[in-house]
Amino acid sequence: MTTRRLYLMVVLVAVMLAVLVWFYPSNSDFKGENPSWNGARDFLSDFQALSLNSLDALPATSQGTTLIVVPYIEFTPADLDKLEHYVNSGGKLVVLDDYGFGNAILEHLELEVRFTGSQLLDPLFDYKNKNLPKIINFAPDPATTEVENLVFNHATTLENVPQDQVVAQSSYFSFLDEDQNGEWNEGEPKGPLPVIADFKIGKGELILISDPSILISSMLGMEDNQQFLENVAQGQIFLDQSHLPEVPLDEAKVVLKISRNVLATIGATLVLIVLILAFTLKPIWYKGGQSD
Amino acid sequence: MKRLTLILFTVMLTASAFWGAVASGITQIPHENPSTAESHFNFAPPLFHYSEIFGQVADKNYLEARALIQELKPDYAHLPEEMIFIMARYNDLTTDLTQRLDILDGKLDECEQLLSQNKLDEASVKLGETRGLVGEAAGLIENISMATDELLELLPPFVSPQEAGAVNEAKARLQKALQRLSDLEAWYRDRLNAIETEAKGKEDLSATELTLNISPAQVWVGEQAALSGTLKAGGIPLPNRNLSISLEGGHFATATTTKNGSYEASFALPYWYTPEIEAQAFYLPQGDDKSSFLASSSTMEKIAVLFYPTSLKIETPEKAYPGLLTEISGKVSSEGNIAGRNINGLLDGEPLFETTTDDNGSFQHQVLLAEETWVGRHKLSIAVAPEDKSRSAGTSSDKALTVLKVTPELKVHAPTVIVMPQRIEVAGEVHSPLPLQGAAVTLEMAGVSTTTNVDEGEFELDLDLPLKLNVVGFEEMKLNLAPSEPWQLPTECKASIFVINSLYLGIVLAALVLAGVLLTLRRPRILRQRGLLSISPEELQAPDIAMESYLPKIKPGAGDIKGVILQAYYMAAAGVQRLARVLFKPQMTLREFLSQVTPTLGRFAELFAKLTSLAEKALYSRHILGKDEASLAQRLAAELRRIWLIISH
Repeated sequence: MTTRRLYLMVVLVAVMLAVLVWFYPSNSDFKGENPSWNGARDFLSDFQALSLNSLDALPATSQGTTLIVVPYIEFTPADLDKLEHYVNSGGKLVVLDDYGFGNAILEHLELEVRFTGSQLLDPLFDYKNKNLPKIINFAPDPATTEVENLVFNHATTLENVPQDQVVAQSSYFSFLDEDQNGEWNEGEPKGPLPVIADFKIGKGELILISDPSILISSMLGMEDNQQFLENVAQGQIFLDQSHLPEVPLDEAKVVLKISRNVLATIGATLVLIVLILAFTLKPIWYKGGQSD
Repeated sequence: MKRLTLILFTVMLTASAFWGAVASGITQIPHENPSTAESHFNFAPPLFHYSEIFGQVADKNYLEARALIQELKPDYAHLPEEMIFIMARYNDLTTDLTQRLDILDGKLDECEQLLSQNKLDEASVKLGETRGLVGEAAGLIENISMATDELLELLPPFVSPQEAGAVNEAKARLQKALQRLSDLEAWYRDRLNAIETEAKGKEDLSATELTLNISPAQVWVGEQAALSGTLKAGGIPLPNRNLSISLEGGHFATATTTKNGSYEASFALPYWYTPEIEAQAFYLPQGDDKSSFLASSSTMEKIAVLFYPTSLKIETPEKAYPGLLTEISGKVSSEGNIAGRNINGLLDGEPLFETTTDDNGSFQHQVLLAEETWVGRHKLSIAVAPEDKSRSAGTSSDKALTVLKVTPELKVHAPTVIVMPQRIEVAGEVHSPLPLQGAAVTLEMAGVSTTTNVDEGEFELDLDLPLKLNVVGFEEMKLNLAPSEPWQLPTECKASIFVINSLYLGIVLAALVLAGVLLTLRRPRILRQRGLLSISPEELQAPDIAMESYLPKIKPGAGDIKGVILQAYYMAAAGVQRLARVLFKPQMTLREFLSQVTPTLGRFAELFAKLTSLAEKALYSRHILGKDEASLAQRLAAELRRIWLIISH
């Protein structure tokens, strides 16, 4: 009887842990399930956006839709082809990147513009400190309607952007901290530096934003960040989640989801029910067997 | 015990692994929580910047200085309120200063230019203005110095020790730049004085008079006009002097005076479709004349210009759709020519179409708006070009054009309740006021989807729903319509459908029924009859020697109270074993056996508990047992035996 109780306890603990992992909210950056400061749950709800776990789920007709990509994981050639097809056939592709793999998309689209990958610091026009630079220079563009300033968070900049494609620039006082010492040094590019750019590609549009953090919950309400995103993201909005790194909690959730899907099949459900019945009815069956 | 340890260790390991998963979601992605970010002011950058601005002002690069001021937007700076206030004041003062110095520079240049042309009267007027500007600039420089003092007094409490070095350097540069501003003020005063001295030197030159007559007073565009006049100095004609004739302020023609100081010229009036053109003649002394005569200009004469005005009436729809043809029409009216007039259409300043009017002056054009035309209010401008050969003026007209897209209306016929496994069938109609063909409809439900095309405004979709764990419940159905035309917007429709999973419901019900049947079959009759035990009399009577084999046989001697109690206990235990169907194993304690049989014994458990207590005392207690306790044990054992006999028979 003691062993049986122990087995029961093990099962109970395992179930409790599974439930905990299932319901414990994700704390991964930019994840739609993450309700905390660094998640994108507010973005998804405010913008009625759909999160995509694979680019295969993109609609066949991309016109009138916006796909937002935070490229923190390397793209496969197939994914790059899908993005190219999406934008060429009329979709609006918004690439938000700072230190990720956004340049792979730009290379694939044969554009010269690049994310520099060094941190943009602004010691004067910022929110609290120079890591949170304010963007206050905008070109007249539908994306900047009713936008006076944006707040970025550990952002980078763009380079090789034709002047007529620049939508927003950092302030005169900003600089690119290439040697990461937090100070401007001789040779480091000084502001204004391009941070948002807009390109027409095929029938679609490509918008580059050098900071993905503007869509996390704690940054969305900052200054005109939300208004800007409303101007940029139109029609049905998709937020790509398939190029974000998985933390162990997410991996555990994925395992649970797979397990749930397996259990959701007819065969597995039948086996599960039979096992539960066998386990619960065993004592009755045992006593019955002994009396015979 | 080993197994227990192993299982517990496994559970702990699993738990720690999962907890690690929960706690280890620490990001390496560089962003910080803005609500907890540390706040830090940087004073050196704006101070360095102001010293740079003042340096540019001191170098008389006013345009650059203003461009630098534009970069300092106090509203967005992360600085204390007091600093932002002074920064705003600094910006106003400096902008004002650069503007005045810019004007001052221009006026001084003008004065020098006028004096070089011997235009003494005009130069005197300008010199008066420049004197005022120099005074204003001096006042502004003083105000900037005061604002700087105020700023430098406010600063120390805010400056961190780390930033002190940079701030001190910036302060030194700022004060140096202010000194240069004072030097600039002095430079302007010196320049003004020099020009005034030069003006005084020209007061002795002879004044000249110049007249201008134009005939006719009214001239058709493109036709000849004649002008004439005289140039004199103190009533004496000045021959062979070159005069400049200007139209609307720009040099247009040159004339030379004759022996009697008169001049004549004729010219074709340019095709300027304006009601009036202003003309003026100028004399600027050249060569030796510069040291003898002052410059002069005639009065401003106006020429009435004749041409045929043109009017335009246009008709445009208030709304237009990207990718669809829009008709724009209109009519040109003029007393000149109206046939074959060129019409240009512009949308937000960008060329949209070109056409010409028919013989009646009407035009009509079908415009295809580009697919990428953004939705919203646009400015549509229609312009009629002027036609010189018919002396007809041009004109233009602006209208607002709202570009929009329509959202198709989606009507869906879907079941409200479905029983799974079942193929869900959804039909619907799509209505749109504009052409809609080949739109794709996607049905999504329970993680699966299917797509079809709208055919003549209708569609039908079938979807095989997957079986899931849910037995019953609402499932959301989503229908997306993706039109292919640029004038249509995508739309979607959602509905909740009550889903009954018949297979799972059947399995669960079957399981419950099976469990019920088994329970019913195995429950002992005695329990069904009396509600006391879960074992049948047949089972009680069944031979089961093994069940008693573990119980010791006690034979007490005379006066062996302990033996009597234990004998009574083991006798009762033998019966209880059968009643409860629980084997008294050798490793079991009396209490463990009691706890396992108690649920089955029901209300007789109390008797056995008392007997167990006496047996425990006999076995383990130092308490000396009496005869009363021995007889109590025997009575309890007899009672239990009696019950067992009743039940078994």
